[in-house]
Amino acid sequence: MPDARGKDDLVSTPQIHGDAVIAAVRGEIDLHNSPELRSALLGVLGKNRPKKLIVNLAQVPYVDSSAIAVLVETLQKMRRGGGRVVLVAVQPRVKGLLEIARLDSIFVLAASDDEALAK
Amino acid sequence: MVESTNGVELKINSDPANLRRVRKQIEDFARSAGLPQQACHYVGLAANEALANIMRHGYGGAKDRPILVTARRYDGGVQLTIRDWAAPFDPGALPPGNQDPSTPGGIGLICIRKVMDEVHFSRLPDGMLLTMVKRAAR
Repeated sequence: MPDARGKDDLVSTPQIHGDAVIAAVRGEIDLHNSPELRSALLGVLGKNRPKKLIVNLAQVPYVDSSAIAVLVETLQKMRRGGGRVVLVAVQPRVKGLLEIARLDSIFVLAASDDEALAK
Repeated sequence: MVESTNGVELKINSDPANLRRVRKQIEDFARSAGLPQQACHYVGLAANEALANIMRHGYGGAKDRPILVTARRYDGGVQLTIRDWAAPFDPGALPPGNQDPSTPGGIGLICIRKVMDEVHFSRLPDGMLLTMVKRAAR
Protein backbone atom coordinates (compact mmCIF):
# COMPACT_ATOMS: atom_id res chain seq x y z
CA MET A 1 0.00 0.00 0.00
CA PRO A 2 1.43 3.43 -0.89
CA ASP A 3 2.79 5.51 1.96
CA ALA A 4 0.17 7.96 3.28
CA ARG A 5 2.29 10.60 4.96
CA GLY A 6 0.60 13.85 6.03
CA LYS A 7 1.62 16.87 4.06
CA ASP A 8 0.93 19.50 6.70
CA ASP A 9 3.85 18.80 9.03
CA LEU A 10 6.71 18.89 6.57
CA VAL A 11 7.85 22.46 7.33
CA SER A 12 7.12 24.25 10.57
CA THR A 13 5.68 27.73 10.87
CA PRO A 14 8.69 29.96 10.13
CA GLN A 15 10.31 31.84 13.00
CA ILE A 16 11.36 35.37 12.17
CA HIS A 17 14.52 36.84 13.70
CA GLY A 18 15.11 40.26 12.19
CA ASP A 19 16.02 39.67 8.57
CA ALA A 20 16.55 35.95 9.15
CA VAL A 21 13.89 33.26 9.02
CA ILE A 22 14.16 29.80 10.53
CA ALA A 23 12.19 26.96 8.95
CA ALA A 24 12.34 23.51 10.52
CA VAL A 25 11.77 20.53 8.27
CA ARG A 26 10.54 17.20 9.61
CA GLY A 27 10.52 13.69 8.19
CA GLU A 28 12.09 11.73 5.37
CA ILE A 29 12.05 13.62 2.08
CA ASP A 30 11.95 11.89 -1.29
CA LEU A 31 10.27 12.43 -4.64
CA HIS A 32 6.89 11.80 -3.00
CA ASN A 33 7.01 14.89 -0.81
CA SER A 34 9.90 17.01 -2.17
CA PRO A 35 7.38 19.05 -4.22
CA GLU A 36 5.71 20.03 -0.94
CA LEU A 37 9.11 20.95 0.51
CA ARG A 38 9.79 23.12 -2.53
CA SER A 39 6.43 24.81 -2.28
CA ALA A 40 6.89 25.44 1.44
CA LEU A 41 10.41 26.87 1.19
CA LEU A 42 9.60 29.06 -1.80
CA GLY A 43 6.53 30.23 0.08
CA VAL A 44 8.73 31.26 3.01
CA LEU A 45 10.96 33.23 0.65
CA GLY A 46 8.05 34.89 -1.08
CA LYS A 47 6.21 35.85 2.07
CA ASN A 48 9.12 36.86 4.30
CA ARG A 49 11.87 37.87 1.84
CA PRO A 50 14.61 37.08 4.37
CA LYS A 51 18.25 37.99 3.94
CA LYS A 52 19.14 34.71 5.61
CA LEU A 53 17.12 31.51 5.41
CA ILE A 54 17.96 28.99 8.10
CA VAL A 55 16.74 25.48 7.34
CA ASN A 56 16.80 23.24 10.39
CA LEU A 57 17.21 19.60 9.37
CA ALA A 58 17.57 18.03 12.82
CA GLN A 59 14.38 16.01 12.27
CA VAL A 60 15.26 14.91 8.74
CA PRO A 61 16.98 11.51 8.85
CA TYR A 62 16.91 10.90 5.09
CA VAL A 63 16.64 12.80 1.83
CA ASP A 64 17.02 11.82 -1.77
CA SER A 65 18.35 13.82 -4.70
CA SER A 66 15.02 15.50 -5.36
CA ALA A 67 15.17 17.06 -1.90
CA ILE A 68 18.77 18.12 -2.49
CA ALA A 69 17.65 19.75 -5.74
CA VAL A 70 15.04 21.74 -3.78
CA LEU A 71 17.71 22.96 -1.37
CA VAL A 72 19.97 23.92 -4.28
CA GLU A 73 17.15 25.79 -6.00
CA THR A 74 16.36 27.61 -2.75
CA LEU A 75 20.02 28.52 -2.33
CA GLN A 76 20.25 29.83 -5.88
CA LYS A 77 17.15 31.96 -5.43
CA MET A 78 18.49 33.42 -2.20
CA ARG A 79 21.87 34.15 -3.76
CA ARG A 80 20.26 35.98 -6.68
CA GLY A 81 18.66 38.29 -4.12
CA GLY A 82 21.90 38.75 -2.21
CA GLY A 83 20.78 36.43 0.57
CA ARG A 84 22.20 33.31 2.21
CA VAL A 85 21.05 29.88 3.28
CA VAL A 86 22.33 28.03 6.34
CA LEU A 87 21.55 24.36 6.96
CA VAL A 88 21.30 23.42 10.62
CA ALA A 89 21.92 20.04 12.26
CA VAL A 90 22.37 18.13 9.03
CA GLN A 91 22.02 14.43 9.83
CA PRO A 92 24.68 11.89 8.77
CA ARG A 93 22.79 10.35 5.85
CA VAL A 94 21.84 13.77 4.52
CA LYS A 95 25.42 15.03 4.86
CA GLY A 96 26.61 11.88 3.15
CA LEU A 97 24.37 12.52 0.17
CA LEU A 98 25.54 16.12 -0.07
CA GLU A 99 29.11 14.82 -0.16
CA ILE A 100 28.32 12.15 -2.75
CA ALA A 101 26.69 14.78 -4.94
CA ARG A 102 29.67 17.13 -4.36
CA LEU A 103 27.34 19.78 -2.95
CA ASP A 104 28.62 19.82 0.61
CA SER A 105 30.86 22.80 -0.02
CA ILE A 106 28.16 25.07 -1.45
CA PHE A 107 26.06 25.12 1.70
CA VAL A 108 26.88 26.88 4.96
CA LEU A 109 26.34 24.48 7.83
CA ALA A 110 25.66 25.11 11.50
CA ALA A 111 25.08 22.89 14.50
CA SER A 112 22.22 24.95 15.93
CA ASP A 113 19.78 27.74 15.12
CA ASP A 114 21.72 30.11 17.40
CA GLU A 115 24.97 29.35 15.58
CA ALA A 116 23.24 29.88 12.24
CA LEU A 117 21.83 33.23 13.37
CA ALA A 118 25.30 34.34 14.41
CA LYS A 119 26.94 33.39 11.10
CA MET B 1 6.12 -8.80 -2.69
CA VAL B 2 7.73 -12.17 -3.21
CA GLU B 3 10.51 -12.94 -0.77
CA SER B 4 12.90 -15.82 -0.29
CA THR B 5 16.19 -16.24 1.49
CA ASN B 6 17.99 -15.51 -1.74
CA GLY B 7 15.97 -12.63 -3.06
CA VAL B 8 13.13 -10.20 -3.16
CA GLU B 9 10.82 -9.35 -6.02
CA LEU B 10 8.67 -6.23 -5.88
CA LYS B 11 6.07 -5.31 -8.48
CA ILE B 12 5.04 -1.70 -8.00
CA ASN B 13 3.46 1.08 -9.95
CA SER B 14 5.24 4.32 -10.68
CA ASP B 15 3.75 6.27 -7.79
CA PRO B 16 6.45 8.07 -5.77
CA ALA B 17 4.46 7.17 -2.65
CA ASN B 18 5.99 3.69 -3.08
CA LEU B 19 9.57 4.90 -2.82
CA ARG B 20 10.04 4.79 0.92
CA ARG B 21 8.57 1.32 1.35
CA VAL B 22 10.68 -0.12 -1.48
CA ARG B 23 13.84 1.54 -0.22
CA LYS B 24 13.36 0.12 3.27
CA GLN B 25 12.61 -3.36 1.95
CA ILE B 26 15.72 -3.29 -0.21
CA GLU B 27 17.80 -2.07 2.73
CA ASP B 28 16.37 -4.83 4.92
CA PHE B 29 17.27 -7.42 2.30
CA ALA B 30 20.80 -6.05 1.96
CA ARG B 31 21.14 -6.30 5.74
CA SER B 32 19.95 -9.91 5.69
CA ALA B 33 22.48 -10.60 2.95
CA GLY B 34 25.23 -9.53 5.34
CA LEU B 35 26.16 -6.14 3.93
CA PRO B 36 27.40 -3.61 6.51
CA GLN B 37 25.12 -0.74 7.50
CA GLN B 38 26.64 1.87 5.21
CA ALA B 39 26.46 -0.46 2.20
CA CYS B 40 22.80 -1.21 2.98
CA HIS B 41 22.12 2.50 3.02
CA TYR B 42 23.87 2.91 -0.34
CA VAL B 43 21.87 0.07 -1.88
CA GLY B 44 18.63 1.66 -0.70
CA LEU B 45 19.76 5.05 -1.96
CA ALA B 46 20.64 3.68 -5.39
CA ALA B 47 17.30 1.89 -5.64
CA ASN B 48 15.46 5.08 -4.67
CA GLU B 49 17.35 7.22 -7.18
CA ALA B 50 16.90 4.76 -10.01
CA LEU B 51 13.18 4.41 -9.33
CA ALA B 52 12.74 8.18 -9.06
CA ASN B 53 14.43 8.62 -12.44
CA ILE B 54 12.08 6.08 -14.03
CA MET B 55 9.05 7.72 -12.45
CA ARG B 56 10.02 11.24 -13.48
CA HIS B 57 11.82 10.78 -16.77
CA GLY B 58 10.86 7.36 -18.05
CA TYR B 59 7.17 7.54 -17.26
CA GLY B 60 6.89 11.35 -17.29
CA GLY B 61 5.22 11.49 -13.89
CA ALA B 62 2.50 8.92 -14.61
CA LYS B 63 1.70 7.04 -11.41
CA ASP B 64 0.13 3.89 -12.82
CA ARG B 65 2.95 2.40 -14.85
CA PRO B 66 4.69 -0.88 -13.92
CA ILE B 67 8.13 -1.26 -12.42
CA LEU B 68 9.71 -4.54 -11.32
CA VAL B 69 12.43 -4.47 -8.68
CA THR B 70 14.46 -7.52 -7.73
CA ALA B 71 17.24 -7.98 -5.22
CA ARG B 72 19.30 -11.11 -4.79
CA ARG B 73 22.47 -12.26 -3.14
CA TYR B 74 25.32 -12.01 -5.59
CA ASP B 75 29.09 -12.36 -5.36
CA GLY B 76 29.19 -11.75 -1.62
CA GLY B 77 26.90 -8.78 -1.89
CA VAL B 78 23.64 -7.77 -3.49
CA GLN B 79 22.50 -7.42 -7.08
CA LEU B 80 19.54 -5.15 -7.83
CA THR B 81 17.62 -5.11 -11.07
CA ILE B 82 15.02 -2.52 -11.98
CA ARG B 83 12.89 -3.18 -15.04
CA ASP B 84 10.62 -0.61 -16.61
CA TRP B 85 8.41 -0.50 -19.65
CA ALA B 86 9.06 3.14 -20.55
CA ALA B 87 10.41 4.21 -23.93
CA PRO B 88 13.83 2.61 -24.30
CA PHE B 89 16.81 4.91 -24.70
CA ASP B 90 20.44 4.65 -25.64
CA PRO B 91 22.46 4.25 -22.42
CA GLY B 92 25.30 6.09 -24.12
CA ALA B 93 23.11 9.20 -24.17
CA LEU B 94 23.03 9.42 -20.38
CA PRO B 95 24.83 12.45 -18.87
CA PRO B 96 28.48 11.87 -17.97
CA GLY B 97 29.46 11.36 -14.39
CA ASN B 98 31.31 14.66 -14.13
CA GLN B 99 28.25 16.82 -14.73
CA ASP B 100 28.07 19.94 -12.56
CA PRO B 101 25.88 18.76 -9.68
CA SER B 102 24.50 22.24 -9.03
CA THR B 103 22.70 22.20 -12.38
CA PRO B 104 19.22 20.70 -12.33
CA GLY B 105 18.93 16.99 -13.00
CA GLY B 106 21.54 14.27 -13.01
CA ILE B 107 22.28 14.18 -9.29
CA GLY B 108 20.51 10.85 -8.98
CA LEU B 109 22.64 9.19 -11.63
CA ILE B 110 25.82 10.64 -10.14
CA CYS B 111 24.86 9.11 -6.80
CA ILE B 112 24.05 5.71 -8.28
CA ARG B 113 27.40 5.52 -10.05
CA LYS B 114 29.29 6.59 -6.95
CA VAL B 115 27.74 4.25 -4.40
CA MET B 116 27.31 1.06 -6.42
CA ASP B 117 30.18 -1.13 -7.60
CA GLU B 118 28.56 -2.00 -10.93
CA VAL B 119 25.89 -0.10 -12.88
CA HIS B 120 24.64 -1.37 -16.22
CA PHE B 121 21.76 -0.15 -18.37
CA SER B 122 20.34 -2.59 -20.91
CA ARG B 123 18.04 -1.43 -23.66
CA LEU B 124 15.15 -3.84 -24.28
CA PRO B 125 12.58 -3.80 -27.08
CA ASP B 126 9.88 -2.62 -24.68
CA GLY B 127 11.78 -0.79 -21.93
CA MET B 128 14.97 -0.70 -19.91
CA LEU B 129 16.71 -2.96 -17.42
CA LEU B 130 19.06 -1.45 -14.87
CA THR B 131 21.38 -3.86 -13.08
CA MET B 132 23.42 -2.73 -10.08
CA VAL B 133 25.77 -4.60 -7.77
CA LYS B 134 27.04 -3.70 -4.31
CA ARG B 135 29.67 -5.94 -2.79
CA ALA B 136 30.77 -6.20 0.78
CA ALA B 137 34.10 -4.44 1.24
CA ARG B 138 37.04 -6.75 0.84
